[in-house]
Amino acid sequence: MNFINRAWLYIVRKKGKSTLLFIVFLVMATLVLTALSLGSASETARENLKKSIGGKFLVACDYSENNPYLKIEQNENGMLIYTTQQISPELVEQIRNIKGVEYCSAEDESLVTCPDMKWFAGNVPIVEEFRQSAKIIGTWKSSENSLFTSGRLTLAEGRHITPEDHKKVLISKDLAEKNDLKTGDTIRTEKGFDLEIAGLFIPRELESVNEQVTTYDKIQNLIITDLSALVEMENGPSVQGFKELEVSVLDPEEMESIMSQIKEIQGVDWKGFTVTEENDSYESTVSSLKQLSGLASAFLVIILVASVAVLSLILTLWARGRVHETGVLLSAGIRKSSILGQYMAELMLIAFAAFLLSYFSSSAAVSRTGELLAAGQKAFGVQEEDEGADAGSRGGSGIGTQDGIREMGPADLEVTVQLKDMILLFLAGLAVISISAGIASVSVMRLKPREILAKMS
Amino acid sequence: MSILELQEITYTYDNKQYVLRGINAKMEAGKMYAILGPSGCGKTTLLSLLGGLDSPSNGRVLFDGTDIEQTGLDEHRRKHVSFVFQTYNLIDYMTPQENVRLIARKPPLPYLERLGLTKDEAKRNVLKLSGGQQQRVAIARALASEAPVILADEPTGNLDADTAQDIAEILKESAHEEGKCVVIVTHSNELAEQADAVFSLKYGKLQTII
Repeated sequence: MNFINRAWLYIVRKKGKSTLLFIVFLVMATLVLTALSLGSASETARENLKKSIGGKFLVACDYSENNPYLKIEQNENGMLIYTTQQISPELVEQIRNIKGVEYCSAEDESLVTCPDMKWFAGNVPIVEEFRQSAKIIGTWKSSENSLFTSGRLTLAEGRHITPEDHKKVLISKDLAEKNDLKTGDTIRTEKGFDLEIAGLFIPRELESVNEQVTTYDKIQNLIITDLSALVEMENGPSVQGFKELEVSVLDPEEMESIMSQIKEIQGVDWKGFTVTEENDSYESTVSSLKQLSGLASAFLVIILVASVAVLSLILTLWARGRVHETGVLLSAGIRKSSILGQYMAELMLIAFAAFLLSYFSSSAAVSRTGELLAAGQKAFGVQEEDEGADAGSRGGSGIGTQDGIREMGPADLEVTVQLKDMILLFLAGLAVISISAGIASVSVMRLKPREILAKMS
Repeated sequence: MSILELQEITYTYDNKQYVLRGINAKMEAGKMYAILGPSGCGKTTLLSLLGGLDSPSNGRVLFDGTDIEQTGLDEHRRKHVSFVFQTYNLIDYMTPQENVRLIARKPPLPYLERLGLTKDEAKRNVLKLSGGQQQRVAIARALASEAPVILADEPTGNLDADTAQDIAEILKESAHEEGKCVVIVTHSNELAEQADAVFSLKYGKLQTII
């Protein structure tokens, strides 16, 4: 009779002990599986958050006295403040090439006057000088501009602006229709520049009727162009490069590493720039998940240690009662390894059944936990949406981008028992059983057969 | 030729207290041997050494001319010997059939029936059998094991006189009819008288009486 047969007979004949062990294993497995599922869920949520929020930091010209390149000049229109070191397209390119950088949204803005254009009228009165003007944004790659990456604008026709372009523009489809323009046509500025329409965009939403907006600030009137065109049109020292560069990174946790890599770029005097991390939303969101993950890990360790302790105690007490059986088996020439194998097999068979059943018990437990966490997450999402809207209004383009809403959408927080958790449970269970059975058997197994028989009598 | 041989066997506790002193003996197949002696004289120790449950402090135990230490004690216990104990030593969660099948590959029922157990009794839990029946199960297990040597430690110690006589007859039969070498340790003269050869163990020395 092999050890599996003996183990099976023991399980079915010693029903009381088998049932007790089954309950111990079921409780243990349910707790372990719950902890594992919570850990997995928080990890998944963190990953989802990373994808949805990403990370951002802003490289901007420093307008404080700390900037050695800062110039303040008086002219006929008032005071002109600018910095002679600005963000060059080459620097943007270098930053974009750093591993982990997702987008580089570099831009500078101004107003452009086009006497022949029919604009969408704003609801805020403006002076005559600006009535034929609209906001113009000089960008690096419009496809990476936050207006487009956030979904606020969508390219409907034509193509995006690239760093190689000169005097190319993107305008809204509404503006094109209003002026009977199409891609390939040109817009003439007051200063005599001809800007060729490379593409048409559609805004996701327009300003509301109640929103106070000037004609030149209306999103339908927005013109997006290349940096070289803006520099040529402005023709002054204050516009020689980009003023702001918003860098989006794939993994917020790599933010610091990327920021330090940027500061190592040669030929840039960082005294002229500020680098500001905009990672608060991720950090604050993820901190609760990190806490949850930490709690789940601590919970798991406690359960495993307690399981080994409880199981060892039970098995040690039972092993004393099985000295007789061990002696009989040894006297029959059955090897110690086979006897230990039988004891292990008994535990494994019972544990296997308990672990399978624990799928249902822990599913119920984690389902309830998931509901609680989802409720918390939902509340948190609402709060962040509000904050996101505020943050959006501070966007570099001056137009309420509402990036925050997109980024801070509730992460998927699904607390379910997954196959990998079950596999981990079986591995952890195997380890717990091996350790416990080893501890419980060592006192008997190290004895000689005759010593065991002497104990028997 | 002897199947079991003891050569200069010495056994001490903690290298001080001598239990067995330079014992030499030979035992043949087809015979029943009895080892007589008072309690605590080392009879069970001697049986343990023959069965590979323990190792001597000095000397050798040979099975078919080979040192059992060389064969391996597990192997010796599994293939060469089977035990019958005074306390039966059956596995309490198994039936008589399963107890026999624990070490025997042969169908257990014929052995159990030969020893007087019915089919129903063969399927009951062993703890529900009488002492005599349990000892019969233990002997059936020993017989079914195919081991050429049966080592019995006070096999009739817990049994009434009639059952003890039955057990003695069965053991004698297995020696004479099946060619087994049966070694019985006992302090019962009645049982010893039925053996083909009787040894007496006193002060650690083995003497041949018959």
